[in-house]
Amino acid sequence: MTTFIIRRLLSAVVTFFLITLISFVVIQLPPGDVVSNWVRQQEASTGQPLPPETIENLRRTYGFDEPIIVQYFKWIDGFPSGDFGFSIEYSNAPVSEILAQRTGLTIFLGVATLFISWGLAIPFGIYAATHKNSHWDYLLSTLSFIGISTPNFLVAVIYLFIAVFVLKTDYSGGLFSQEFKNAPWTWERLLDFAKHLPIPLAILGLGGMAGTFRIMRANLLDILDQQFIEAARAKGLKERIVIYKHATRIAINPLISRVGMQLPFLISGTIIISIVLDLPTLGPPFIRALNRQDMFLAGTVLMILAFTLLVGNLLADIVLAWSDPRIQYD
Amino acid sequence: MEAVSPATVDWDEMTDTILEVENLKTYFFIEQGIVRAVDGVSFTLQAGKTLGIVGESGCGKSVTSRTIMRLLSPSLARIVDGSILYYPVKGEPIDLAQLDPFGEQIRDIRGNEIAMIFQEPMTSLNPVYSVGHQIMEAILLHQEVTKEEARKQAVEMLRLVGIPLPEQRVDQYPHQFSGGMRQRAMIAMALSCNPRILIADEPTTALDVTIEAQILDLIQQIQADSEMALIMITHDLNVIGEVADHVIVMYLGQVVESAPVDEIFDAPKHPYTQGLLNSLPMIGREERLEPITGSVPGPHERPQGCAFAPRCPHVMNRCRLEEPPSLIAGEFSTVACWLYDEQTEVVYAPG
Amino acid sequence: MTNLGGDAGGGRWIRLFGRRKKNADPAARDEYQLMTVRQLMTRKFLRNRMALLSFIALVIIYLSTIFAGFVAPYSARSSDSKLTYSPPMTIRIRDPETGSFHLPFFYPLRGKRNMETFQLEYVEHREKRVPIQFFVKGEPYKALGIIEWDVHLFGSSDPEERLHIMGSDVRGRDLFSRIIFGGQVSLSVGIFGVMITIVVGSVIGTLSGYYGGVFDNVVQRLIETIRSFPQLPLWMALAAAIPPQWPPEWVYAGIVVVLAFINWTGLSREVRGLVLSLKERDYVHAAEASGASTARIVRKHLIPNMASHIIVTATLAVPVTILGESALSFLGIGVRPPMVSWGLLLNDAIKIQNIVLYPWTLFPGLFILVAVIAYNFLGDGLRDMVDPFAR
Repeated sequence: MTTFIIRRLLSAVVTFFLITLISFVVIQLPPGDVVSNWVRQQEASTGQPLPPETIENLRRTYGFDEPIIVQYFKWIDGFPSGDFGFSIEYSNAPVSEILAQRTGLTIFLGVATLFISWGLAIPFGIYAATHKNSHWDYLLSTLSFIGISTPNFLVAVIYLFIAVFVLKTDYSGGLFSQEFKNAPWTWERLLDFAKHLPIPLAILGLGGMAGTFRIMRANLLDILDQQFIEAARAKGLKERIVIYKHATRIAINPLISRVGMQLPFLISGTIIISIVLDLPTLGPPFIRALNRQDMFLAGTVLMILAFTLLVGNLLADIVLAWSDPRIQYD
Repeated sequence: MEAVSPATVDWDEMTDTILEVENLKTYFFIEQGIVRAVDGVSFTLQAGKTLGIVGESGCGKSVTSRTIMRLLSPSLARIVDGSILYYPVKGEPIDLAQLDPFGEQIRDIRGNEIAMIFQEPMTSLNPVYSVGHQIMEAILLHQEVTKEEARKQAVEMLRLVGIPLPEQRVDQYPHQFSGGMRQRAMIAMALSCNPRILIADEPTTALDVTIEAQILDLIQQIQADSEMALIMITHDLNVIGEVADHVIVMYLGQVVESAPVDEIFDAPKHPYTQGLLNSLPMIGREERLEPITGSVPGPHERPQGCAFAPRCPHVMNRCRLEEPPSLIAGEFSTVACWLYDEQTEVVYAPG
Repeated sequence: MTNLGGDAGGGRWIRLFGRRKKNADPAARDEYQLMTVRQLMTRKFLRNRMALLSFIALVIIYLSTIFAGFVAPYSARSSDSKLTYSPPMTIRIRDPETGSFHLPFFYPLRGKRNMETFQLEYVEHREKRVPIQFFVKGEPYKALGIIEWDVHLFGSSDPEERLHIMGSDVRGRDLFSRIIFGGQVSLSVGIFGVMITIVVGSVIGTLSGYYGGVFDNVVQRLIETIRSFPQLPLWMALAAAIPPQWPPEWVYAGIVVVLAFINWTGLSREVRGLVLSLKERDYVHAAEASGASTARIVRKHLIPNMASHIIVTATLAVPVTILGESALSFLGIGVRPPMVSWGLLLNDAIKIQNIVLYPWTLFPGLFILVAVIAYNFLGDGLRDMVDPFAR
């Protein structure tokens, strides 16, 4: 088990370096470098050209006068001390400062969504599989088919429509009321947060549910066809025990390994829904940075997202190894 | 000869009958139509004896056994006719065909009084629970014992079926067992509640020949030690010859011949039984093996008349038109073939 | 569908329900039928009602966008400042006051500013009944980009009174017409993106599967790294790198390339897996042993065996690509005006206030939904079809 984890960790480290490399390439992709973009914006806003020494100075600080490869190493060299570069869009604030709290909220939303979508999808999947070809099975399967076909942003827009027109809520986006937006964590802020949470969570959770439901149903149908299920029935076990203890337990294992495939969609969904609902996650600064070619910020967000995915996959592998005795560790 | 149903044949001293299947019909109702998987099967089983059911794949052997255990999904398969009378130690016989397949009554019988072992030892055990846990599950279900006692019994059962170091093996998972060991563990599980009937559905098909012999020995030895009745389902006549007392030969859901094992091997009557024997390699046999021509027809193309007629070497016009009834062929045997009807002009005399 | 196979002509024959017998008696003939693989596949597909329905829906949608100028009553850009954000107009056949029936008509809308909310509110102008005409003369357009014409499938009979069956946008442009024109972009992005995906994915997949070695290792590591990014954010980042000063057509091409950039990895992995298993088949070994060139083996043995897989994967990749373009345009980093696409049109609905005030701006979303669901059903149907013996 330990060697298995160590090997996975080592492979993850290699992947992480490749991720930083691609993120860096993305930062470099737009024409012109970060400094010249910044200079252009400064000059546009003040109406005066910046003194060439200032520009030179900036270039030297961030190493833009050096070869690309050196720039890359300078960039990743700052990571251990929390330096991911600076942001033009957020008045030169360090990227780490802008993203710290938002990263936490993004991960929180992602994990909460995962649990909500599983909590709903698994029971529905069990019901549909054990009542195969019933009306409810057809209904659930059709709905889930539409569900996996519906893009997240459309789901967000549709749910907002429902929230406003059908449920008549006064939810207008965000995770905090105006007065708590930048306040430190207090009980009142937490309460306010909890009040804002249900609608974004429902949107995200229902979006992720459809796929999980379909896999759960298919898995369980596969398992129910297996010999050991018949053997369990032949022992005289109650149908309920056969289904929950013998079949469901195994049908859930592939779901764990699928977390890895589900996470990117979850992250993509969180990002796009955050943009629509203006949630204080990594989504809004990401799109803002992309629109203004604020590339250190954009590249760092991209990297954080990929890193989250990497860690998520790693955790899923470990949980699976722990839950399924058949996994070989060597 | 006159037409009879084998169950009504007055077997000699049939006092301790334990299971009596009469005209059992299990049909599958699927999208493409009705599949008559079991179509009028009758037999009786006596305590301590072994009934062999033999036939090619797709002839309804497995469906028969699952119908007795009521393991078939009611949304797919229905018992449309017939009865399965089980004679418990005390009390009136129970017709298993009338029970709710998910009900308490059948669940008390399953695993406890009638147990079953399956064809695929590799997939008959749940991969995520230890072998011991799965044996204890059956014990705890049907006996009022504590967990510790159940565990002790499980270890004993593993020892009984010849698994070395049972105290350690009991906590291992199925993937740590070999195929033969898994089948032993399955037998241990099936026998853990001392069932009165054991149904073995091709228990050795997936195993090596040497392991096969060991498993068959084990089953016979256990049977000798108890009064357990055995239904051995197989397509392998060698297995039948080794363990069975009485044999029924099935073809397309029907019993074509029913006879004591010696009669089946020495004087087979039905052309299908003869065909099965002719395709069997035996030591000392000189002539060439003769396979039965053709293959078992699909479920939707059941021929009119005798089901075996398209493949039968002795087929007559009558066979294609009328279905033969079961005819009494000997003291303990019946055969469903027009060759043995007096009205038929016999063109071929067997033996 | 009964085919007794006298006209086999060397096709591949499948035994479906039984054996063919030399002297089968004529009465028994109906019980036995033989079908070619193609017949079997067609039958399977026709039986899958949802897939068939989806196929028909897609054909209709594609034809409407190809002949957008004819189907849409207006051009994508013609605006009317008197009818900004007008709601969808009701098409009537019955006069609501007298109850008499007429050919389809509508009442034009007249805007009035609400002095409390300062919103423009529209009421039907009941005095004027404007008939709806089919094959009506209207704005000139170029059918298929070449033929000049001015006949539209349907439209208002009075050029002064515009008909907006799905409402209009901020500048009073007809939303239905814009959706039809937007479909040209949204749907073609899917097709072109998948074409690139197929070519790049199968070439790289075949090469890395067939030759293995260093090339395979490098490619696999690259694919793994690309796939370690969440898809949409990576698309966003790459799309943002398209220079803002490019003309719209270039941006469009750039978006297609960006979308294909991630999609090819999936297909290439699948093709690699297929090649790895196919190249161990006996007939490939036999071909190698008899001296067939690599090119011939790939052409004669690998491609025909992978074609159905590739087609199914490609069909299922189309909706992913369509969604990618919609999401990017929706977020404002996809195709740029004056081009229109469904995602770009939906961009109007991004603000919650807009959804409340002008819910009809969600119509483009409906079209995205229908197209994507139809492709998914079609892909599912095709997958069943290429596996005619399943179930």
